[in-house]
Amino acid sequence: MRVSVKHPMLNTYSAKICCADLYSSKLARLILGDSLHPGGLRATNRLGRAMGLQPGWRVLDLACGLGTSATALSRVFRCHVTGLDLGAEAAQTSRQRAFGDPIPADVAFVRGDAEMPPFRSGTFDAVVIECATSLFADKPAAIAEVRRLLRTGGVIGLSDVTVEPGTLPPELDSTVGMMLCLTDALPAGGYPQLLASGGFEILDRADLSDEVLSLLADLRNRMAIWNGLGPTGSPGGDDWPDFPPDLLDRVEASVTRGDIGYWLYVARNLA
Amino acid sequence: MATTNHTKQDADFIFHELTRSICPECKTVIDAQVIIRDNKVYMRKRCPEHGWFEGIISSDAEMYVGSVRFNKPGTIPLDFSTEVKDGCPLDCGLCPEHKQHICLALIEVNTGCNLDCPICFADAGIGYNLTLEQVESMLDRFVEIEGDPEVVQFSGGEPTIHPQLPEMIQAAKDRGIRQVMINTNGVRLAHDDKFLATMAALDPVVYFQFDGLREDTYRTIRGEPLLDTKMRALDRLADAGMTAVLVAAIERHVNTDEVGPIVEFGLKHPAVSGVVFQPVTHVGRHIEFDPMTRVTIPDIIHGIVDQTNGRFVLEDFVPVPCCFPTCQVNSYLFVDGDSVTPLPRLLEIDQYLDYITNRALPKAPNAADIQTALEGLWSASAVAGTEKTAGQFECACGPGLDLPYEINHLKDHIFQIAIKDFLDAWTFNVKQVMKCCVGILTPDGRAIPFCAYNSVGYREQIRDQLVQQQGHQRLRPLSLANPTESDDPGNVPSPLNAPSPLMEES
Repeated sequence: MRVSVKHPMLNTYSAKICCADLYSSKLARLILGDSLHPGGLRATNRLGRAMGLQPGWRVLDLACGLGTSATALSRVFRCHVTGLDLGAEAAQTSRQRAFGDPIPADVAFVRGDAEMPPFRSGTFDAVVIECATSLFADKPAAIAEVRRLLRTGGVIGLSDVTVEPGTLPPELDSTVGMMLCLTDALPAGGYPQLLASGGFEILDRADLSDEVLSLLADLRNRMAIWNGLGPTGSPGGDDWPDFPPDLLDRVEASVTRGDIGYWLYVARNLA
Repeated sequence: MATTNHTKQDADFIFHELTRSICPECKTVIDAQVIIRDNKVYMRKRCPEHGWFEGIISSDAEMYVGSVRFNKPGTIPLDFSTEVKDGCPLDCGLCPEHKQHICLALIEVNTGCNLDCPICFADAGIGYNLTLEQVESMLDRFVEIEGDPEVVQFSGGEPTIHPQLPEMIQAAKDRGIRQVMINTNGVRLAHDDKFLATMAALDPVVYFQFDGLREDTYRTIRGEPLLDTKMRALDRLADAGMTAVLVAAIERHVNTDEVGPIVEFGLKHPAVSGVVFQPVTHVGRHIEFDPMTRVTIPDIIHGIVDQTNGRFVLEDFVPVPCCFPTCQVNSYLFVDGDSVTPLPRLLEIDQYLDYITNRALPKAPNAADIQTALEGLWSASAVAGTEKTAGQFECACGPGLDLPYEINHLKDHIFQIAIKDFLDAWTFNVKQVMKCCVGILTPDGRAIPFCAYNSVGYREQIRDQLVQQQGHQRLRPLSLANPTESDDPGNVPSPLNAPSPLMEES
């Protein structure tokens, strides 16, 4: 198995759990909101529309986080959605939410490794991977697994952060950078290549980088609140990193330049 | 005056501008003059058919004229739904000549109501219920034209009596719309435990009709004493952890003396995060009124200042730049126990929101961030009591305030006052409608500026269409012989002009 060595945390199973739990942390929600990815449910819906999700389809949300997207997809597109995530709290919270929700959703949650999904071959009409491909240690193997799960002609919808090689500010090569899917992200051209070499035909792609800008603007507001708190606390608890004051400005500039972006891709399983 | 006078006389008014309006009788679009007399602003217009009309549009000319510099460039929506054909306001909407996108969208899910108020711009009564599918497609269209929609408000009729309101709220949230509101009289919230629990789980902001603290006010405006019901509903909202914005319809000789007490009450009530004052707009059902002395925005500002023991000054209220700035003013207060600090005391708001006379931003190190935050607060899409608003407040006044609160508590300390003067046929000004940012979504995919919808005839047209569509289903329970008839569009008579048998309102 090919293992990326760029981020040592991603190498072991326990590190993956740690990573998944990190996503259910207060810090992650503070930065990313409940959907845990740029654009929130707007971007999720856009991905669903681009994929042409049809009522009654069996859809897998791979690395579903807190289940926010999976639940919304099931209601907006009237699909049977399964969410898979390694985070213990994620699966628990999403199950509780789905049951406690006044509006029922056709969604089920399974705790498991998104790179080794515990489902039979050809089970799904569509697979959604939001902001998670960049975190997979062995991306080609993960895409091969997705292809195994899809019926012939099934659709993969992938949205993720893109980083052009060598452009990442060094401070972001850290926990926060990983949270923002930055440290192990591919360049904008990398995902279609990954999909094509995995036996998929690219149907659509769209630039959602504006969503990163509005996420940064929100983050700016949230940080302004915490900065106003003075010494009484830090927004994400003890793991809140020290931001250089101009970091947000520089990330914004990177996005504007096109070094950092957010893209969606839709592709069809040819086999 | 039979004697000939050879001395020229000055007119007793200043001619301010020429615009377009509609005839209060026949709704025909006609020219209108805006004039200033005795520091008050009036609209004067002549319909070839029905003659001259004159009515007040602002009781403070200085405030009216001074608000013009708060006019911000509009934002172009991603898509338009109509073409320019007959000119504003007959091509709604939005047509490509519209000057602003939709900050706040309203969906009127029904026309039915559990009250029968003598004052009701929506003329609530028997009519239609939108289906969940219709609402979903309206929301999808709204996302299509806005991309990043801020606020949807479900209204009516009375939306809480629509059986699918919870699903509709969830549908808006599922589509990533940031803030969902329900506009309600509170009657169902006051009495229905199960419904309240459902709403608490969905947690929309409650836009809560609250016209005053006197039973007489409710008798006049709502047709029955409702004070106990209102209080009970608000207390239950507080217990459920929900947020309410009080919405008061203000009418001359009824409750102009209650604006101060309403603010004071709102400041103290744990569920209330803001107050919206709306001078009664004389469309739909309304009581008799004098167009020359109707309530306008400055009357309410003066009322608040005079009735709150020096808590406020006139300058605490600042025009909203996203719509036409004569349409709305806002203020924000930082509330800490008994201490109330209006945000305009902490910051030179007009230096940030003046887009015409003073183009240079103040020299504060984060002036651009402050301006963005203030634009968010002084917007029709700002919803009191939300985290987003709290963030904007903090960002705007961060250095000036020591805020020892966590993010979830900060919003409990921010109070919004908004005064919104909706147009009716007497005050209708095409200039304002062209930059309106409050839109009513319709099932055919349009977003019609609120005041055009109410005053020009769109409301009647769309209600007729929807009643015709549904009337077949509802009028035919006895003739079950052909139950599929309603699905056949060929059987629906022309929706326009033909009065519907279901329209019972006078």
